[in-house]
Amino acid sequence: MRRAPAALFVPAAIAAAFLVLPVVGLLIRAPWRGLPRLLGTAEVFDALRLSLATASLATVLSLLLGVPLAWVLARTALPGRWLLRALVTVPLVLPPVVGGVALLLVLGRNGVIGAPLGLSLPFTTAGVVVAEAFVAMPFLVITVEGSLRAADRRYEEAASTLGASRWMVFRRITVPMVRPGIVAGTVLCWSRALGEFGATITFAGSFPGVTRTMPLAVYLALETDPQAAVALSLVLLVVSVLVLAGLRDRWLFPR
Amino acid sequence: MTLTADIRLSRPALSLDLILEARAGRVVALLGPNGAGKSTVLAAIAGLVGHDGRVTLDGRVLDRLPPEGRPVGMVFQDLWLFPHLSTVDNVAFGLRARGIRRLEARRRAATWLERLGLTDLAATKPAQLSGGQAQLVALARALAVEPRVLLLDEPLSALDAATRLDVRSTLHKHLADFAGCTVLVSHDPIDALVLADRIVVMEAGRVVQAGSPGEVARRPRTEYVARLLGYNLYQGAADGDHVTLTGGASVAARAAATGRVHVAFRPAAVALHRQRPEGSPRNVWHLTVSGLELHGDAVRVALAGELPVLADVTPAAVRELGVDRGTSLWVSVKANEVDVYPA
Repeated sequence: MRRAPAALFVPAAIAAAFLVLPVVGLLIRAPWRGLPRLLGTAEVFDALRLSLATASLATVLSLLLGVPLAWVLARTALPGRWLLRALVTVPLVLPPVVGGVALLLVLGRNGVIGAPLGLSLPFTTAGVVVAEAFVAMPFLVITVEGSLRAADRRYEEAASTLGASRWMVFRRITVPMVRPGIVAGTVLCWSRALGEFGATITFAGSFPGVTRTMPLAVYLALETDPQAAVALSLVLLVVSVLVLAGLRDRWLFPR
Repeated sequence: MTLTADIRLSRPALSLDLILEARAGRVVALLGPNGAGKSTVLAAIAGLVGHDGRVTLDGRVLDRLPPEGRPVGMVFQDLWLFPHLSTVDNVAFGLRARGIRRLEARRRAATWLERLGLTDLAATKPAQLSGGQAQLVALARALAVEPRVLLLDEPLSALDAATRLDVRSTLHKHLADFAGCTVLVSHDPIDALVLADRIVVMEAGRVVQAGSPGEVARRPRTEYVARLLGYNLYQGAADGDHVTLTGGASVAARAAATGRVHVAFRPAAVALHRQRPEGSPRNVWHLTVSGLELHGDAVRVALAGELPVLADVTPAAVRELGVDRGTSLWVSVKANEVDVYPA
């Protein structure tokens, strides 16, 4: 192998250190001995349970709605499709706090849709799921749409000449063929939902056991009990590593 | 049952305007150079591409129907076997799409695999199949839904020479059993000559000639047809490397076979002589010149007698031999140039 030029190698080394060191620091400074005491409390258990439940529900919601949206974007000749794609990816680049404010304005008690429908999502667990789905679903949509575009449509044409309806083609041919994309999109979506902070705290607030998810708990603990914050961060780190391990084939060993 | 496909299409890169007719139990071969739009014609019949003409089956217009609503089965050039399904589930797919229960669909699919000698491969995924096996699975998948129209897009082009021969004869057998209309697209004249009852040659989106394989081969109307289909083609009964043609003449071939066969050799492989040739050629006939035509830089000499033969020779040779209508000449073909295909 040829040696890398210094102009590339040095920044690359700095970047690697920059990305790795904070995590190492977290592990070094973690209060390992006090861990059982810090994590054994009811608040931590509630926050973890709430986080896992809301992130999973938000992911299911994103799958049920996002995969069809990805299909529409990738497979139909809908007029203004490019505009729709641009609009649905806005939450991807929008600061999550702004997303939270926007959700309040639309789905809040006095919101554009919330008021006529009599919704009371803010400050409920359902509100957490909505906030997380709003932020995380675009990741799934974009990933799945990319897979759909890459998949050869002629398999679908072959299926249709065999008498399969579009729905059957979707279920039996399209979905199995883009399964890797759906899995990757689901994992991305779930981890994004798990880490969601800004939109959640803005739209759903921070009530223990109801809307206080792990990221919120970490942030609050940092002000009162830094040791607990580090311990909670450690839990999220473990969850993230597990997610990465789930994606190992795609990211750690790319072809 | 008759399929009438009046295909009209105008795109920047391709324009089609042709009428194709296929009858029940018959095979029509659509021949043409690459890029002539042959595959697009099939796609239009299957409903996969829109066009401005009319496709009817027994007078019923198909054009309004989506692909899944047409009684059409298609074998694609690249097959498109579903990679995530086993062989038997690929074949069962169309039956499942018609609402047949899983077990019954699998049972019927297994019957098709058995007919094509693929029973051992039922559980295999397409990626593990050889080219010839995959081709037959694709055929089984298309036939399993009992379509009334079968479309075959270059069914043999991806295969190596040895496999091709095998698959061609299997295909021939199953096409003979198929009761519906078959349209076969190919750029290989041998496929068309051997498999089809009728040949339609298209160039630049239009039909330039149509007829029985014999007619088209013997009376090519365009330069392209002459070059493509300029084959000497006969039928006969083989016994070892010796074939007795239907007309009584006998031909030595390069490979052994038994039973009904097609025999083919190229006009360029035919040599003409004033005197009976000495030496190696095992096929020697004494024939009479019945026609002369200039094709490119060769003269195509038609000869008649014991068997009709087309020979491509240089203009110089024509002068030297004094070839003219009515001239008697000795005609020789090396056995090594004579191909035999099971009928």
